[in-house]
Parts: sequence; C-alpha cells; structure tokens
Amino acid sequence: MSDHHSHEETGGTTSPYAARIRAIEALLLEKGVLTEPEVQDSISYMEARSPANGAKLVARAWVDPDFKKVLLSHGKAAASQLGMDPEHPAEFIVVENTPELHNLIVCTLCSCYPRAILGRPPDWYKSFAYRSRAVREPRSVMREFGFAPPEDVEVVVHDSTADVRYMVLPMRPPGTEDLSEEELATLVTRDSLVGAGVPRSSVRVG
Amino acid sequence: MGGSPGGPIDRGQHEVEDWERLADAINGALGAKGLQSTDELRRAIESLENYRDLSYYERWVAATENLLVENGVLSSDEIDERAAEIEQLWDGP
Amino acid sequence: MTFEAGERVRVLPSGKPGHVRTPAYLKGKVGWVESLIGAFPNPEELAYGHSGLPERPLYKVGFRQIDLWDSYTGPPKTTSTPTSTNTGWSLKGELRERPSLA
Repeated sequence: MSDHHSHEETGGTTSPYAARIRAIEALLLEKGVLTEPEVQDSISYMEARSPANGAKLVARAWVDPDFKKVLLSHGKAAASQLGMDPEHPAEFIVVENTPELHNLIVCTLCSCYPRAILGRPPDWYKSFAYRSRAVREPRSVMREFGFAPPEDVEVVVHDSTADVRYMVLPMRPPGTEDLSEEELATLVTRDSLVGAGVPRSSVRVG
Repeated sequence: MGGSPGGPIDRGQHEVEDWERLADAINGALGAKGLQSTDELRRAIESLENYRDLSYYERWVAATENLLVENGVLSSDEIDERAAEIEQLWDGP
Repeated sequence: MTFEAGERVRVLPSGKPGHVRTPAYLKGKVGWVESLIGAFPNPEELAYGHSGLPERPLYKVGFRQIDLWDSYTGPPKTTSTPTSTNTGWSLKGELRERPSLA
C-alpha cells in the first residue's frame, strides 16, 4: 500500500488508535478525499521543521540589529526572509528576553506552538502539568527545568489561546563575541525558545 | 486547565511513532484542503469524553474520526471494519 | 468597539456553552490592553464549521499575577509581573468596561 510507512507496528504496546488512523488514511485515499501525494507532502512538511529554524532566527537577530527589529515587530516577515514559511493566518510573535524580563510560552487551552517554524512541540509542552502550572507558577515550573531567573527579573507568561504563535528571543550569552552566526545558532536550545531555559553558553566540543 | 493544580512535569520525550506522524499528516492534509479547520479539531478534541484517558495523538485520532463522521465523510462502521482488518494483518497469520 | 493600548478592561464571565476560547482563569478578571494583534474570524464559530465572519479584533491583554490568583505568593515584583494573554475574540465585544482607575 503506501510506501511512506517504513515499518509496521508489531502490536503489543501499540495504541489501538494506530490501526484507526491507518484505517482512516486508507479510506480517505480510496474515496479520493485525499491523495497519496497530499499525505506525503504533509508528512514532509512537518519533517522539514525543527528548532534549528528558531535557532537560525535567534542567531541572526543576535548579529544583525536590523533583522532583530523586524523579528520583534513582524515575526512572519523575518521568518520569510530566512526562507521559512510561517503558517497563516496565525500571527507569529517573537518576544525578547532582557536582563529585566524573562518570557515563558504556554498554551493552556490546547498546545498552540509555532509548528510551521519549529516543528512538533516537546511532549512536556503538551502535558496537563505544564499547561496548568505555567500560568500560575511560572517560576516553580522553570525551576524544574533547572532555571531560576533572579527575583528582580520580571517573568511574563504568554498564553497562546488564539491565533497567535509565540517564540522567545533569548539573550545572547556573554563571552560569545567571537562566535560565527552558525556557531551561535548551536547554542540555542529548543527549551530556550519556549522560555523554559536559556541558551548554552559555549559551543559543545566533539 | 490553566491554573488548576498540576504535578511534576515529565520532561521525557518519546520517539514519535509512525502512526502519530500519520495523525499529524492527515490533519495537516485535511486542513490544507480546507476540509477541516484547526478550530474544529480543537473543539472536537475538547469534547472528547475520555480526553483525560488518551494520549496526545490518541486524542487527535479520536477527534479526527469524530469530525469525519460528523461531516459525513466516513462512517464509524467502516473505520471499525478497516481498523480490525489492519490489526489482523499486523498480528500475522 | 475597539480598545486602545493601556486601557483597563475586564473579561466578562461567559456562560456560553460549547467551544469557548477564553481560558476560565481569566473570566471576570481585570487587565490592560497591550496591543491589537490583528483581526481574525471568530474561532468559536469556525469550530463548528461556520465562516466565523465578520472578523473581529484580537487583543493582547496583560494581567497581574496577584489579580489572577488568590493565593499568589510570588516574589515582591509580582505587582509588575503580568500574564499576557490573548483573550479570544474579546468574547464578541464582551471584553469591555473601562473602570476609571481610582
């Protein structure tokens, strides 16, 4: 049948919903509701997206003040400039961390996330625990991630409850003046783009 | 959900399984063709009675099925039948 | 009805059944308008396959933690620690009331 399924589930611990979605796919294809290329394109679309895109946006903003301005005021335009294709009609808003302010992103109602740029959200972002606690006790949540902004830093939680997708522009780590843009991008972790942490401070060796 | 009590956050990451990728893809394709909106999917997920018992992608599949049935595109019976056939195939002879 | 940045607003409690895009923890709370994000079709109607038109303005609204949670015991800087949230669709214009600040 479809050749984009590289291996079959072998039962056991697999969810019963695995067979259901395959059944749905098969039926939709048979009835012509969807075509094979459409499904394949959709798979490829998501596979092409990852936090590396976010890291590129951040690294460019760190080295180019004009780009940073665009990123913070017209997120979608900035993404397009770097060849990325943000989703529409949702807005893509990038919020900046500063020495005085730290941002944390959550979607309490579902799991809104800038998928078109960053790909799938981490499992924890979709969890009930994160979604319920992030708005109420952001500092406690961040401590679980091993991150604790000083008490005099303001913490702002952005709840993406509607047609907006958020990403954090973390602060550039100190002592990175000599790094290239590509090296800077390697410091940017997925968690730092959500505000659950901060970028690495040095490039990993090996 | 926001503000309700919540336990510790599990920071583990499971490998996305093929069927989960497919759930993403089917919804993406339906959305791209204008056959289903993100808001319909959200609403369908939120109305699942067993929301709490299902994993993230299980909710997607259940909600997608409900929407397709609601919109008269597929019937529950044919999905049941085909799913059973597929599981038999997997279980082997 | 439109709002200006900086205006104080109250999220009205909505007794509406069905798919509502305003988080429960915001209902009845007072915050301030930070900015207008744009105009979008009403997601509460899109959720049922309707067009959701006419588009309505979506605002970014800020709230202080101490105004949202009864037992908030965060750092003293709490009073200037807003939770910025998009309240869906202003509940069709229900996001209103501008109490004059005493």
